[in-house]
Amino acid sequence: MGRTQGQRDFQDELTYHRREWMVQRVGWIVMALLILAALVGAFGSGPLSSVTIGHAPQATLEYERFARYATSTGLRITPALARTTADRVEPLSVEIDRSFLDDYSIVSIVPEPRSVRAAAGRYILEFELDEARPAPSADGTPDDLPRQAITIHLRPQAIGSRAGTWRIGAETLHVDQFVYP
Amino acid sequence: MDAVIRAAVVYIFVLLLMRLSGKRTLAQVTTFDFVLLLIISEATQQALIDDDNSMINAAIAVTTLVGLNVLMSVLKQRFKFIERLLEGIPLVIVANGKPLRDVMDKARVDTEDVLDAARETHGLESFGQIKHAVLERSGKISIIPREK
Repeated sequence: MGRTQGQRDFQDELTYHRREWMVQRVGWIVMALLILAALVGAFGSGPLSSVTIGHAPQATLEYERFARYATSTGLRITPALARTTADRVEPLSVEIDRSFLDDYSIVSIVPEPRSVRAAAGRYILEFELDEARPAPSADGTPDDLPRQAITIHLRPQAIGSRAGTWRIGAETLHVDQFVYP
Repeated sequence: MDAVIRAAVVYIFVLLLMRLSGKRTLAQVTTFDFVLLLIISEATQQALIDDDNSMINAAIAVTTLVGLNVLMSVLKQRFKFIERLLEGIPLVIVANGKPLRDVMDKARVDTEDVLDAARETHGLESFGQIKHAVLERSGKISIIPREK
């Protein structure tokens, strides 16, 4: 192919451009998928990410399956409905594995726990609950009064898969969260 | 999820405001307009980033902004009315050597600006040497000199 110096071979260059345009269009599709995934909650804060473990009327824990590094993520504990009509209510004890909580910093706990203790391999938080809930109706269906809740905001300090056990009262729940960088 | 919504809202809002403020806002490189652009970017930063310090948040926000930009450019190309809506059309401000005063007033352009452009682009000295002047969509003024 005899080319004088400085002359451009437009045909070859058009091939390059066509390839570039194709790559661009593929890139646009990837971008659109990324945006859709983010809207749906694949990176946290969305329907795909919100999960509730445990079954009402036992204790349940609502949290985000996906979280982002150094960004607040919320968890909500709904304690089990009281089964008796006793006036005195025992404090609710929430035990969290150190292997989980050590990789988070605590932003807030509402309401504040009555006490926080460090035990072997876990932290024990004790919460005062208000007076006893009324007993469920005779056929065992739970009443529909507003539930008590404890809201905890945590800020992940490490990325990757974070798993740990939370013991809420008598129940053990397993929490699994993926933290994006 | 909110990263996408925040980025989209800020983008559309700033686009709308820039469009409403008229053509000349972005064309000028005077200190005043430069400062305006700097401060706008500072003011929108909080809304875009919020309390989220993760890399993925930055990636999502930027992807949304770039994606919206690409979408706008594709729509502008396909639908002419969107191009007119978003960018406007050129405006004749000097016709046959005569400056159109009322049009210039509305567009907030004065004869000094026209003479500046004439000197910069064609080295012309006076109005007598200008045949037509057009305020382009970008805010720049283009000059068609009078033939000798």
